[in-house]
Amino acid sequence: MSYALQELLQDLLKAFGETFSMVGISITLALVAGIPLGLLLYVSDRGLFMENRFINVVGGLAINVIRSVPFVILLVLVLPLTQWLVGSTIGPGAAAVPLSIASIAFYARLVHASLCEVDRGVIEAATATGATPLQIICHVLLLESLPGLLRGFTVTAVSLIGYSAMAGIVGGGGVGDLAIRFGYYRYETKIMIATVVLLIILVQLIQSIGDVLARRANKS
Amino acid sequence: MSELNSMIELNDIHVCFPSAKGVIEAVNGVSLKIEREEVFGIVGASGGGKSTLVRTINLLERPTSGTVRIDGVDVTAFRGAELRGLRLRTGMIFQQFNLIQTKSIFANVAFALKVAGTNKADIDQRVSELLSLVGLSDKADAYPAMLSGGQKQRVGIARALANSPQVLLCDEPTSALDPESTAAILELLKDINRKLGITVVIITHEMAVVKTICDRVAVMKAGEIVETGSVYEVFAQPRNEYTRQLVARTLNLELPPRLLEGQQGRILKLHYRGERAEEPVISAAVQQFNVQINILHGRIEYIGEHPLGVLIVALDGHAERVEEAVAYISSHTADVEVIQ
Repeated sequence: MSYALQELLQDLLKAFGETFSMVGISITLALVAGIPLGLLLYVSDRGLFMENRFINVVGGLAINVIRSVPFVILLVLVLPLTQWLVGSTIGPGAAAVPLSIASIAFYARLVHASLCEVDRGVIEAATATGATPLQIICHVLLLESLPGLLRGFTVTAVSLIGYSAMAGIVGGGGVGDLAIRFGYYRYETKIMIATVVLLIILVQLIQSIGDVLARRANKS
Repeated sequence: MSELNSMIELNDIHVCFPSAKGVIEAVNGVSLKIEREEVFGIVGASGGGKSTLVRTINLLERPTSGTVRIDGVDVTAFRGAELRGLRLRTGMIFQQFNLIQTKSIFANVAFALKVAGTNKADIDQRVSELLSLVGLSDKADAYPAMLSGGQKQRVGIARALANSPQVLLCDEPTSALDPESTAAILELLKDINRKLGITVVIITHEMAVVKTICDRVAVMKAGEIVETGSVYEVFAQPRNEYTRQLVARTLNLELPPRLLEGQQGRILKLHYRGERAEEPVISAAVQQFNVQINILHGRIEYIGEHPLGVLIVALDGHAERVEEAVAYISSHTADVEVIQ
């Protein structure tokens, strides 16, 4: 082994710290922006209470455009924006910009899909009760789709960890970066395996927590 | 808000939907008056526009043209807060119950009260009242998935009544229920109508439902009302061919063909409607004309308090005498149909 165990631990700790900060920032933004965006896309659809063809088409198109650009290319494409927002194009903070954009679009689409699963009859019943659009959103739409929203959130978080490895390529740091630098460029296979094992454990953990929460939210 | 106004007045309602094959006219020029505190049925086959029609009353479906008046007020153009106010005064229940699966029974009913801006203490009290009214006091903490169909519909009813509406709209309320639950739910609806004086509009494809609880009924076919009248009138003397078919199917007045085989002489179908007793006519015919009268089939239905019956009899004997007997029976009963 070309360098000490202590050094490896330090590097791993740093890398996981970077990954957590990248994923943390972008998953938070996915929640904050993805849910409203998915909701907007849903309620502006035909036959719903805020029907608006323009918003529906433009919103759907924007989400699809972002989702069709391969992440590596998106990473490079938004570099000017990253520079302007963060003041740098290197480091976890900079990598969080393309990650956030991708995860907002990704989660918004999953939110939309979950909302489509809500029984229209229940929405109609709430409308017939005299509920306002906001009351329907809070008491019916978000509540009834909660299991789906949680499952989608889990999927987004797991995908983000994968994307964050790619962010390492443009100097984002993180676990993926560590694996590539040591495992690939320096032929330190053991380090690569160690990071991969740790990633598998992390993903498994996130998935299990998500499953438990989704099951608890499901009352049917 | 005068007592002279009908509770619900629909005037020349049209509802059109765009579709791949052009415009579909789901409701085609319907005018109806539904009076205060009555139970009004709208009956017809599925796809006949009944559900669309009832949804124009609380404007879940906006009529393409025509006006909706509730308690004398034209509500057709209501939007926003005004429309929500109208909906607080008109409860609605559904075939598939449409409860919020992720809310408890208590919370489902409480939601309707929260929408009306009721405060927390009043909500608690009112929900217990409502759950006890529908007989579900012990299920407050259960979730909809844990209840039977009949119980779910009771929750639907409690929710619909939460804000003390003047009108209760029921869209096929018993179509997803077994016969026992159907009877119990209809009983409950009738009870609510009597005790609370709420006008009930009930959409159904089952004449049996109409017979059980409605005062008046409109028969709807292909987006149009083909007949309106008191339930007794419609059952006793259906004027429209479609209504006749519906009634015949419900009352099961058709004679099995096997019974008609090998019958000699005349076969008559007598309808009696309570006010005219048939028995003396038959026995008088037997004595007077010396014919044999054999009862093949008989059935009495009670619609509300009024009996509605049918008797199928075979007359046999001397041909001339039989004809005289037929003429005599015809002239002494409300409605006679000569089958053979």
